[in-house]
Amino acid sequence: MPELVRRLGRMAALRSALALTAVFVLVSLLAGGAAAWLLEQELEALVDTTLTERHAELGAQLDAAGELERLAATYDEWSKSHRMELWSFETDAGRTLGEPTPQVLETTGYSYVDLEGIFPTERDDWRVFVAPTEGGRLAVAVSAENILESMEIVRNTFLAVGLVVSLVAIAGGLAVGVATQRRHDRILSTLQAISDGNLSARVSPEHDRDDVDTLARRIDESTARTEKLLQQTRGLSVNIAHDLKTPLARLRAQLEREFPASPERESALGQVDGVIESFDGILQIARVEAGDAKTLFAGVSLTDLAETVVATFGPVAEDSGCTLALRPLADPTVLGERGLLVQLVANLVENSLQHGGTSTRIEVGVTPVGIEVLDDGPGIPADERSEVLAPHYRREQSRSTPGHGLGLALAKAIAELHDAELSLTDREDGRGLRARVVFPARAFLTSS
Amino acid sequence: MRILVLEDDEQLGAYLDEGLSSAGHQVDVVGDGRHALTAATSSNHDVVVLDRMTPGLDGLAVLKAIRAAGLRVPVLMLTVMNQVEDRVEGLDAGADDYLAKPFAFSELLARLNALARRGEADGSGEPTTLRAQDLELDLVRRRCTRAGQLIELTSMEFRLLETLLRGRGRVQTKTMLLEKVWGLGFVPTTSVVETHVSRLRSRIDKPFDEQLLRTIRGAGYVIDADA
Repeated sequence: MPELVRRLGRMAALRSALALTAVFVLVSLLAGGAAAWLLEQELEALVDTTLTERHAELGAQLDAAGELERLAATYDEWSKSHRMELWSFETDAGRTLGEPTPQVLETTGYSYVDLEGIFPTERDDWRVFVAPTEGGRLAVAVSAENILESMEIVRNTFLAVGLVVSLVAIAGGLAVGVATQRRHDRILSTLQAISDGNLSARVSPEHDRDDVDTLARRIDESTARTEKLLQQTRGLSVNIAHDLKTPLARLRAQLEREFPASPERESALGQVDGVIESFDGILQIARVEAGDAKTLFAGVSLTDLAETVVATFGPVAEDSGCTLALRPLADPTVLGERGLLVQLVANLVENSLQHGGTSTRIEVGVTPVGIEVLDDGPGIPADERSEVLAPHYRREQSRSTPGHGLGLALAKAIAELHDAELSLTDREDGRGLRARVVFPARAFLTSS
Repeated sequence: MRILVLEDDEQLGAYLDEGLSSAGHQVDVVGDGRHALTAATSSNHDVVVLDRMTPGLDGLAVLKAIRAAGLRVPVLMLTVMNQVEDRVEGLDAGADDYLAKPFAFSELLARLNALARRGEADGSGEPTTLRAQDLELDLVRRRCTRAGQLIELTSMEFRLLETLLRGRGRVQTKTMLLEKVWGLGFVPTTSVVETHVSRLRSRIDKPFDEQLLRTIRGAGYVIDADA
């Protein structure tokens, strides 16, 4: 579940559509609420105006008449016949006229009062206005049944409209978001395929409606251009290889066939082979970097691979006074090209053999995250570590040792082909070199 | 044996012709893919060498056409691009072996010998014991004896000896051994083959009078086919 939330959180299109929907729903609910509130205020004001007018009218009559009793009876009658309005008057001397409703006269100004049982109305809420008048305090009241019901209708209407609008907005937002997200995902998965080395992958948008389609089209165009350029470059390197290697083959054949065996001939052949070796190395790095070998990826057991390297190079190490041991701490299976991975580890082991000096102890360790080669030799100074991974870099002290300086560069290219990270560091105990190849989590088929 | 060679570089073709002829083979060199296809389908060759990049039909297309025609003749591809993907492509199309240009002539000769032999061996049952004079390698029980004496071998040494005995009488080059014994598609900087051969020698040859495993300078190693 948190994984799903995390993934949803990373979908920009869906997220912004939903955020926009949320804002829209909030604003429409607020606007609806405000409108309902204003309407209620308006209704109340209307009722209150009527009450004020009635108060003034009655007050004037009371003032003019003096005949309180008669007036009281008349109004009482009127009030009862209308059943919707009532009044009461309290003289300064404490005499009460009209409906004997002391709880009304206790209030001041406009208010709602519960007058249960006075009239058989459905609701007992009354809107009351009480204010002093000539000779006493006059209260007028009108049943609040209508106004309160109207308010309820207004409120319910706005709630219902708000709910429907919100639902429609959320559904619409979700639909737009999902549709846009799908287009984004299509572009994303295409880009992933391209970065995995499949340059023939295309987004191929179905329409040409907006800038997302334009973006997709631009990606397709630039990928097509890159693919074409790469094909040309590859063709070029094949041609260079062909144009240079055939004369080299001729030269080698001529040396072999036309000169009698002699130390001079062997030395010349050795030099030709050195050129060929360097040339092959450069071509191989270029090809590994082009990523074609990804199509050959299959499950490779790292322990099995380490065993092969140790069994192959163990005797070589022993003969030069060193030791080569296997330290399997795990047996993960990664997706990769076995031949290239063997070459990677072999190059690291050979690097330790060549630069570690005599009686170096070398270990090939298999860990849950990858494979590492440790030695107890002099190591590589920190400032040279990144440089040794560049092609043709050879350390001053190693000029006399064999090799064409491509071993570690090739190891790095092979690691990068597998999206793995090759790092050269000091060992934790500070004695010797630790070359680690750490694979990304997605490269593992199984782990133990 | 009769060898068909497709090589568009005239000079290299001439050298191949001369070299293979002087090694006692009958050689037909053609410089064009179409001629190669005609020659391969109309005459009976023991082995075919195809350059990968040639005018007309390229080597790979010729190979596919040869296989499509139902010919089982062993084919060795020559290529300037010695990469895993190229090998896979070639082997998928029906090539029996692969050799990167430029190559040592001895390497080509050794591989052609091995290929022709593989063609002959088709159909005969797999032996369970390999022999060279008084040396015996029991493939089933994985035991090695010489003159009745049991010899302990590591699994790598066993595979090395097995490979040499299977190709008895034919030179096995360093790169052939690296491929067959260790499964390595590259030549290590350090002396892997030399070290393992010398260890094997110290076990099967040193304690005995006659030396079976011979080094052919500049070519490779061989255990001679004896009488």
